[in-house]
Amino acid sequence: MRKGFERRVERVIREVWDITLFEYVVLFSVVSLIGVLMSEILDMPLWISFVIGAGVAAGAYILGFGRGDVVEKIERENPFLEDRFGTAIDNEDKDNIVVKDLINQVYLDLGKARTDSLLHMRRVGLEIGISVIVVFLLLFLMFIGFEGVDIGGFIGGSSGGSGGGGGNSGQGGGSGGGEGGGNTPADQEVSMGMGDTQNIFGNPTVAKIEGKDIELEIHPEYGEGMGTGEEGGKGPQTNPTTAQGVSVEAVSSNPYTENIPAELEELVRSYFEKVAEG
Amino acid sequence: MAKEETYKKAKELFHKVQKSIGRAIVGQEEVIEQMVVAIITGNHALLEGYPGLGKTMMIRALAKTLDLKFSRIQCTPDLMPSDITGTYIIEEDASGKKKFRFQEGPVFANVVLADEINRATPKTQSALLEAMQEKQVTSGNRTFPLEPPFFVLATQNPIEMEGTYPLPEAQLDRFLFKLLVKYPERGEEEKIVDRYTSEKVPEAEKVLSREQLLDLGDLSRMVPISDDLRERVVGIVAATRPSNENKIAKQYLEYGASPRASIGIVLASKARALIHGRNFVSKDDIWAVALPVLRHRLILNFESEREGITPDAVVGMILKEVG
Repeated sequence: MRKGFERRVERVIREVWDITLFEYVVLFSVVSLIGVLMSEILDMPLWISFVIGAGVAAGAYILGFGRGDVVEKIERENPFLEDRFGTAIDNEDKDNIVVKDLINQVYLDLGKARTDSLLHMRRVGLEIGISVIVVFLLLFLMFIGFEGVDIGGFIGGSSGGSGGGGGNSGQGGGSGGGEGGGNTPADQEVSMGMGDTQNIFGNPTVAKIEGKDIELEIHPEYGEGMGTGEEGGKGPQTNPTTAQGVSVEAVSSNPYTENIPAELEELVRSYFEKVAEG
Repeated sequence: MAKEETYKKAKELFHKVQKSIGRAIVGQEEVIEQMVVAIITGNHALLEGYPGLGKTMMIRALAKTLDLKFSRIQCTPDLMPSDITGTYIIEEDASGKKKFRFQEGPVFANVVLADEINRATPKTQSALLEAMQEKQVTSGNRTFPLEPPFFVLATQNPIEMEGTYPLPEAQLDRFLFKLLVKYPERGEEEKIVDRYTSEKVPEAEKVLSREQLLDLGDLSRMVPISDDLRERVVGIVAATRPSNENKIAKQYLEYGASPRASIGIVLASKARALIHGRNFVSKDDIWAVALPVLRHRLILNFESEREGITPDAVVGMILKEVG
């Protein structure tokens, strides 16, 4: 009888622990799924969601949610075992007619004991429901090819355009007119947040004059030595070069494009030639 | 086998005892139950109540129901210890030879009623209390054991305390219970009047043998108690000690109960569970016996006495807080 009693007690206690463990696993799963969804949206590493899930489940355990004395839980859910179940377990090593009688009765009553009512159906149901919704959202995002929001771009701010070639350092002839202020590599692109930070003055403007693409680049150093009434002195000398197939089409923002009317082309050309000579 | 039989019939036997005493005493069921619990555990009880409430009659009926030898000691200031324990007397035998023979005192009974114990001198009180504790009497250089079961029921009158010798706290601690006998209800009093003014006054009858009573005592100690309830009992008693930083104890009490109270509560709970037909101690058992066990073991401080706070009120507060 004692062996049978011990087996039944172990079975009942194991059922209670299984239910408690199941509740913690469901909690971990739903929080992790929500974390996966957030990491998809915010483009964060996936492992963070599982860490958060584990943290929440551990926190719930530490704070005692769902824990508590197992014997007390069983007695609470099965009032016919109140005070008797715990007393029988605490005294099962005693051998007298009263304790034997108690253990016999509790052994029989344990067959009627229910542990399924310990499962918090409403809470677990809600968590599973949330998990299903989150899974659907994840599948939806995968279906539409959502690539995530670039949080880093907001945090880092605009980084400006690509490098301006030789003119990036501020070197360049005069006001950068005529031939452009340096090479702009063809493969450099201007894009928000990912721009070339070499040329902090931004991408040079390219003008089409007489069929040629001319980079117009004016750096702050231009006009050095110029005073009131003075002509511009010799500024830093660079070899003006022609832009090599620079696309004037904007990638993410439109650089300034000079559309010179045909009747003024001659005038503009002669002006810049004089500046270049100077 | 006999013990098993007694165990199975414990509840039934208690009902029979209640019914038998009920023939002589109207009401007072709680006091009767607690007296039975005290006698089963082999302990003693102190009854306090106004004169004429049937204290002596209750004890006499109990002794008759349990088929126990009964003796009564009326305590007065001139009562001597030898009047309780007995003394040597000179006796002449058939051959004319004189010798000393020990004449047993009224304490040599199973149920001893010490009426108005607070009127006896401290010396006489201590002689009785020694018998209660040791279950034996020493006279000269000889020791005389008292036949079990040995049960002392002492009574006190809450009025007319002038010129009395209140039992010291250390002696009060030897009583398991302090039972308060209250006035009967209106309906009960009418029944009492009817019963005791009629032609034939009903009496209690024997329903339990001495062996069965001793078996019940052994069985009560076998009743198991859970670890949780045992800890709760210790917690309740510890909460009566001001040194344990309990708020209520610090506010109202000078001294709290000793571990003897913890033992008393557990033993009394086990006996109560047995006579109620249960094979385990429940929370109700603890709650039912805690008050009579603790009320005479607490010493109120001056402020509490000035405010009229009673030990019962303090015990109630502690049970509510700790229970």
